[in-house]
Formats: sequence, C-alpha cells, structure tokens
Amino acid sequence: MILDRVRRGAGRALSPACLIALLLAQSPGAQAAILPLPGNLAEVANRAAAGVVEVFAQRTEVRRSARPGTPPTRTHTRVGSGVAVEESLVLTTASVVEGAERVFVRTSNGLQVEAEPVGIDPVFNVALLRVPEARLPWLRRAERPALLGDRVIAVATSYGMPSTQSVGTVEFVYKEPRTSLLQLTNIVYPGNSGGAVVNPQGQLVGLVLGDLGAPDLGFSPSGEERRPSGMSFMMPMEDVWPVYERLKRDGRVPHGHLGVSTRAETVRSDVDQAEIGLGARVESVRPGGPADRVGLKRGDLIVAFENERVEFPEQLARWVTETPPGTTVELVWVHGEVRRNGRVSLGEAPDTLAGRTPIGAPRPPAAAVPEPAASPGAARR
Amino acid sequence: MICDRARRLFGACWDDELTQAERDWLEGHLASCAGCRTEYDEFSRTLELAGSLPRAEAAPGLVDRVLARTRRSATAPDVVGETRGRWVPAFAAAAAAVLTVAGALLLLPHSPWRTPTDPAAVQVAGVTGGPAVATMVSQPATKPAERTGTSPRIEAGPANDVFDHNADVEFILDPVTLHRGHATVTRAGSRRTGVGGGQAIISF
Repeated sequence: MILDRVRRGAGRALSPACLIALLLAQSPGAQAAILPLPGNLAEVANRAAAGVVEVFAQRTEVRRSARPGTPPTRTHTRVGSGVAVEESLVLTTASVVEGAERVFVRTSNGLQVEAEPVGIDPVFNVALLRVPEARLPWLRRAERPALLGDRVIAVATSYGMPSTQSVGTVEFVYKEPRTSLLQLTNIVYPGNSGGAVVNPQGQLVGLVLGDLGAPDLGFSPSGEERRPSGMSFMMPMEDVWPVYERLKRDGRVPHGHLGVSTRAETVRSDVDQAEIGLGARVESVRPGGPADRVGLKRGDLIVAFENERVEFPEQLARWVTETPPGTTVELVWVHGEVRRNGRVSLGEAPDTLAGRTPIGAPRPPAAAVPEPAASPGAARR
Repeated sequence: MICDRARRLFGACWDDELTQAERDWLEGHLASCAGCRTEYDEFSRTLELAGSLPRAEAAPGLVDRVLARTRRSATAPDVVGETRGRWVPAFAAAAAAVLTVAGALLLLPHSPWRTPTDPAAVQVAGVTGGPAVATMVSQPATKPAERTGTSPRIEAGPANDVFDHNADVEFILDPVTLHRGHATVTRAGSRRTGVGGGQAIISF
C-alpha cells in the first residue's frame, strides 16, 4: 500500500519532466522536417551536380562569306548541359545536339568521352545520348511532379564551370493540351539548356529549357552581357519521361499529323494596338488526310483543339505534332459564318528528322517567305 | 528600335559571324520588314562593289616611315618609370611567401582549411544511382575517377579553349517568348520543326 503511493507520487512528479524532455528531444527534428536548412540545399545541389554533364556538339559549317584567305569551312561547337538518367544514358535538349556531327560529354570530375545520339526529338526538344565508355552517377526521377510554389534547384553547366546552381520556386505553370511548361524563379545562364532541375530531395523533376527573352544578340547598348531575366523555364519530367522511354526503345517519337497548311488570322486591338490571334486560317488541305476526312475546306478558320482556344497557327501545329498518331481529337472551326465541329483521328507526320539539313548548312529558301531577297544569304547571292 | 538592332547585325551577318539564334532572328525580321530588306540589299551591294575594286598596293617602306613618324611625335616615353619597378621584387617575394604558407596548410592531410570540394569526397547516397562519380568503363567501379589530364580520352574531345574568342562556340540557353496577354509559350525548338513562327504559312 505505502509502496504503491510512493510509486504513484514518483509517477506524477516524473510525467511533466518526461514530457518536457520528449518535446526538447523532438523539436530539432520537427523543425528540420518543416524548414530545410540552406546548407541542406547546397549539399543536395552538390550531390546532384555529379550526375550533370557538359555537352559539346560539333559540326562543320560552310562559310558563307567569300573573303579570300579564310578556310571554306569551320568547326562550330554548341555547348549545353545534360543529365545522366542511367549509367550510360544522358538526357539533354534537342536544341543543343541537333545537326551535330560529333557529340562529347564532359563529366563534373573532368572525364571526357564521345557520346552517340540515341534519338533526337525537336518537337518535344529532348535528346537522348549514349555514353558507352563511361559509368555515370545518375539522378533518380522524382516520385511526384513539381507543383506551383515548390522549391527547386537548377543544376547545370555554363562557360566551362563544372556546375551552376540556383535555388528558386515554381512560379507559374503553362498548361497546354499535351504538355506543360513550368516557369521558375531560378537564375539560368547560357549553356544551361538541358541541365537538371531537382527537388529538395535531390530527385529529378525536370530539364532546364531556357529563359524569357530574345536570343542573345550581343549588342546591348551598354555593352553588357545578356542578363538573366529571373524567369526561367523547365520541361517537367512527366512530359520528358515518355519521350525518353520512346527514344530509348525506338530512337524516335511519332508525331501527329492533320494535313493542313494554315496562316495566322489576327485583328489589331483598338485599346493597346496588340495583335489578337483569332485562329488558324486554312490555306490548303491535303487530299485524303485527316483534315480532309473531317470536312475542313480552304478558307475555314480553326478556332479550337480539344476544347482549347486556338489563337495562332504555331500553337495548333505544336499541339497536333505533340499528339500521338491515331489519337482522336476534337476540332472546332468556322466555315463562312457557321460554327462547325468534328472529331478526327490524327495521322502520322513524316519523320521530322528525315531530309533536314544541319542548321549551319545553307538552307533552301522557305516557301512561306514572301520574297527570296528576304534571306540574308539569298540577298548576297 | 528593332530595325536599329537588325541593322547593327548586318556587318556580322556579312562576315558570317552571327550565331544561329541571331541569324534566325535577323532572317525573321528581314522577312517582315521591307525597309531593312532594302537597307540590307544596299549594304551588300556596297560591300560587293567595294570588294570588286582593284587592290592598291602600298609603296615600299610606307609602313616603316609611318611608324617612325608616329614614334617621333609621341610624347609619352616608351619605358615604364623606374619607381614602379622597385616594388615588384618586394611584392613578389611577399606574395610567394604567403602562397607557400597557404599551400602547405592546404596540403596537410587533416588541415582545417581543407574542404571536401572534390565530388569524390562527397558521399552520394540516396540522390544519385550508379557510381559515386563518373568512371571509365574500363576502370573498376570502386576506384575513384582519374582527374583531367590523366585520362587517355581527354585527347579525343574538344580542347579547353572554349573561352578562346577565335573559337566558334555557342552556349545554349533556349529563348522562351510569351505571347502578350496570352498564356502561350513559343519554344525556340518549335521553329526547327518546320512548324514554328516566323513563317507566313505552316503545314502540319
């Protein structure tokens, strides 16, 4: 009896102390779970940098100027970034390696090996490279996609630096019928295209695409370099991954085809003189193609694709080519003054890579350019 | 403003020194701007005319005579004042001493100034798969990778001269443009697919 009272008394006195001790013991861990310390992010970025490589894409270009004494050709190198997703496979953007004759990869610890393009898809702007001679530490894909407001780290290479690292957040999500593009607050630099965007756990959530603005034309009035706009963009992994798997399996990605030629139809706003896109005006229809089957005629105005408003032909062209062949899509168009709609199964586009010339090589004048003299190359001839 | 920019690129375009992005931009602008197109035609005609003129050779010894006259008329001396030179040995000695001490400290195996910046020193766990750092296939997976300069593969790739301004190197960062007032993103890559902007009629 007395022994029981002593035990109960001791229990009452001990319980608040135990509670305080437990709270004290748990509080640092709980804080770490809510707010990752900046040191953790730096460590994550350093770890991810081991799986990021510098990509060199070289091709021979024919000089267009006939200046005497200069060699007729020169080697042009495009430098971007890449991410190892398997021990010998590297993802990068198609814009870096397209048209290249030789591709090299330099790892963060200085190894440099030749890479073979497995497949390049300019529509999704994704390229897959195989590096047979190296074993790379590869980045794991994130279990869940990056969402609005998520903190992300962009890890890439620029100007020969082993890695540029920038922490930011997902600021805006541009959703399109087939893909989306995430706008980030991270700072990106020339050479970052194809780099990794990782979450605070170090898992791959996307590929660095580029930043907002015109291309670097190198003639800013103050003579400064192109400054980062603070608005960078990434392609989310959930869009890149199916393309990667297709490139790995088949070396190419099939694209949808509608069989129309269109031009822009715009009006100028009275308020701010902005060009407002009305849709895609059909100039011609390929006989027997999907557009012909659904009843599109020359002069019709396509205004919607899969319940999305079409404003410019580039938009519609992108949405169509991003759709797998055989997919049934809904189109809305205006014929005369009558609204029409219909569902049609898309065909397969001819291989986007077949018959393409490297970017540096002289290109045939585009059919759409009004006058041949519009091209600088043509004007010189 | 846009026309000014375009016209500033004419010279580089003629000399074939534009990047692909610049060339695409200029060609796009010329396709839509009759004024700049005329200006470029005149520019190229002028250069072609100038290029077709007979080449005049300078008289023998002209360069030497001009240089000699320039030197005679120059007011500044050709040599650096002696007072500045006196500092060089003392400064160099001090710098060498500081560097020696710092180097010795850094090279000590357990130096507190030594930070694990080497990727091999950072343990990769959970974030990446595969080896901790990139290794050659011929090397055992557990052996850390060789540094630049010791690998036989380094010879095969482009040299480290990407900062050489004579080298034709372009660092890629795709430009993304947003249509005003619309949540539409035009990707740089779309133009290369043959379905992009800058063309009056597109087929798909």
